[in-house]
Amino acid sequence: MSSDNQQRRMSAFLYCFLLLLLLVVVVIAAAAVGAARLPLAEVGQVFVNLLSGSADLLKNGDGPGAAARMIVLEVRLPRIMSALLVGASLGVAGAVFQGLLLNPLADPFTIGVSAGAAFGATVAILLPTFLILPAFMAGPAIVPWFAFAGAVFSLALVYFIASNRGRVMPESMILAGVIVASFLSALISFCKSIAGEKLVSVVFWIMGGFSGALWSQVLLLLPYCLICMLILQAHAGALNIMAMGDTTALQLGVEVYKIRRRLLLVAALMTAAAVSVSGVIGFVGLVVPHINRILLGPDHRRLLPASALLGGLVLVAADTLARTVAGATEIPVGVVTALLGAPFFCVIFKKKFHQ
Amino acid sequence: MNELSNSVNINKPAGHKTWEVLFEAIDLSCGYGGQVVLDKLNFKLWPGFFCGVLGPNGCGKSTLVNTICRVNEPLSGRMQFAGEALSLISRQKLATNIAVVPQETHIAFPFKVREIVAMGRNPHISGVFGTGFDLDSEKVEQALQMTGIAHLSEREITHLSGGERQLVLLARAFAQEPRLLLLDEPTSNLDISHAVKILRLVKAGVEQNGLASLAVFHDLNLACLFADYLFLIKDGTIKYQGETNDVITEEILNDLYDLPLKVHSPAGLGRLQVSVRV
Repeated sequence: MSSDNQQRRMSAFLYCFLLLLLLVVVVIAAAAVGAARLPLAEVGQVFVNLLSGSADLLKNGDGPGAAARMIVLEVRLPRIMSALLVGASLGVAGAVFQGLLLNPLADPFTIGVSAGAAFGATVAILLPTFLILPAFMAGPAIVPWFAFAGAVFSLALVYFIASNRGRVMPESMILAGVIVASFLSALISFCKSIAGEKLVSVVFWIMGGFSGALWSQVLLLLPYCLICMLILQAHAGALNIMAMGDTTALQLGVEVYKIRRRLLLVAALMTAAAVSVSGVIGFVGLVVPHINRILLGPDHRRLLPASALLGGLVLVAADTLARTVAGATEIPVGVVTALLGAPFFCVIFKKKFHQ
Repeated sequence: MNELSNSVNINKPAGHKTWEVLFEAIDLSCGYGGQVVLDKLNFKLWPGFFCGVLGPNGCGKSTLVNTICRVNEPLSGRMQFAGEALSLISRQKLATNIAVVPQETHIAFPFKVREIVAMGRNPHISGVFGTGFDLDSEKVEQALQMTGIAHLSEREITHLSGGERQLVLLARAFAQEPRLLLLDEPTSNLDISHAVKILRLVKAGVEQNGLASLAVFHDLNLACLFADYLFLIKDGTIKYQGETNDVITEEILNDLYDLPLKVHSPAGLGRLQVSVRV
């Protein structure tokens, strides 16, 4: 990683503290900028009220800060929180997948979860065109649920193909993921070809974004992702040892097959939830763990929390750029992360291979 | 070490050697996917004994090591560790009793030497967030000192030479504080000085701490120099076993390797050496 053998690594505590500070700054800035530019003081006041738990936060309909409060609480904050949670989930899942599959090019989507989610969402978007649906299934609210179901379905399929008597090998997981993803991509293409006027919705969903973010989604996602992250963090030490290879890990007393199965499922289910809220947002889950590994070293116990913070930070920043940089028109956030992430990744890749 | 080996006698073990059985295999058959590689093995391992395994390539020496540490499940037969059935011991508990130094390990991530050695403490740690490694453990420090790699402790494993890497893996095995140490051709890619260094460290553990050790050798002469007791594998079974100087005979070796070999007894060494007849 470094030409210097006696590599100095950043203190993980300091690094995470800096990330947290930066995250607070970015969140406040993200709440202030947008179509209506709000004064920082008013935004700050909203946050202070929010954190101090003022009861009349929402009822207070008029007064000087009312408009700001409304915009921040009802429009921007759910969106920021969604981006934060999805970014954190993708960062952690990426680090876990890279560690589990012993492959630096793995990301949360390597095993085909994203293709499953995209297929589910496509079906949900197209369904009303071909079927008359009961009222509760109509409308955009159903899309994330279909996406989640699609992701879980593809995960089950990949696991079924890759597992051999309860054991999954990294290579077979990657291979099965590629096969399932390409099959589902073909199905998505087919759906697009018959989508007619819905084509735009499908394309935009797959590109990813947070424009329709709701508090209800955030409140579902928050405990779900936190529980997944806690489970993953609890196995971070085992992940370190499993990076030594199956044989060595078994010899060091780690139940490799059991733990790999558990971690694959938890990381994939976390990714599935994230993707079903946001669409397919690339590069966060790939690049974020790499940056942290360069700065902190390969210890997953530090890598996972740092990847959660950096992933959240990056995606909140990217989403803020996506909705502000081109004026009134919004760029898909997946485009921003890929446009910034791909060159960045190339630089890392070149640097690593030149040493 | 020479003195010790000369004084070894079936009836009167010396030093930490005892004939109290630590590990026993009874009619053990091992292999992969139903394919029998080694059939009906019966052997014992004792504390204070450095046992060696010899045999031609592909005869199943590594399979044997992997079966004893339960990376592979045995096809049939039983294994006993300190009187307990091996199959009933949890993997974590087993790892506090049996450690393995592998032949060669590809390590994908640049962990520091100290982190790798500390992984040896993993089976001794319990608790949800506790698994992994305890970097500050005294045992880690001891293992680093014992193997003479304390000065490398902050280096990344990916930057070390093959010989240094093997010392790190030995230190990790020592940090596990096992009662049985398995070595799978630990010196096969090393120069002679690193090979001897590794084997001397194992020998010291065996003689001073009563460790039981089973090492797969590919070098006959190193086996003759270090092993107290040898298992010679051919045709899918342990064809010969006994104390080193008893089983290293031209007749047995010719049968084992299908090659005319000459056995020497260099003056003052107390150990046999083998050379190829040309």
